[in-house]
Amino acid sequence: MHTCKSVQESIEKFLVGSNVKVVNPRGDDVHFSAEVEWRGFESLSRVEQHKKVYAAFNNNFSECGMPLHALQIKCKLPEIKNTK
Amino acid sequence: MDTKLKQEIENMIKQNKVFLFMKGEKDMPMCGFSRQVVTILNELNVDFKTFNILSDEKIRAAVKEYSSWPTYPQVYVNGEFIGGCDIITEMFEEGELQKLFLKN
Repeated sequence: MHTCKSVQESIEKFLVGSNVKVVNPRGDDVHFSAEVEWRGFESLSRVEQHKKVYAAFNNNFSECGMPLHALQIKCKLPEIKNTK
Repeated sequence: MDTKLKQEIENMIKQNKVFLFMKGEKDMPMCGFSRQVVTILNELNVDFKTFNILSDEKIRAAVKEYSSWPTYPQVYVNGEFIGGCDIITEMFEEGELQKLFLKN
């Protein structure tokens, strides 16, 4: 059974240094939506970025049912902060 | 992957400029994410063909292996995998999809 927290932890553990926000928009514990901010996305295509996130689950999607039914993904690069 | 299956997939994606592997049929999608992609492609007036992966377990497994992409829907343009529902939606919202179809 996945929870927002377990989905978040799986991604953060796999993409070291990433900052992940996960919501469960339908409140059903099977459809999740993740916003993933990670420096490693730089210079990767959209498809490659999403593949990185899928890899955190060993590409283990059942599509319909367990282990992870649906994960919407939004990949972002961290904003460069002005450090003075 | 079975060569015949691979050939079958390549025939579909190369003989159609825009091809969508989806759950259900174009006029009756069986999943909200597939429906969303159909809606976007219709909105852009794009001519596209679809294959219902729920109708063929072998193709369903083979396409995932072909693209190294674990979920459906999957959109191909000129034989190249472009993305699933999130990417297509993002590209549509940012005007990139429109540009891609204008170019092709």
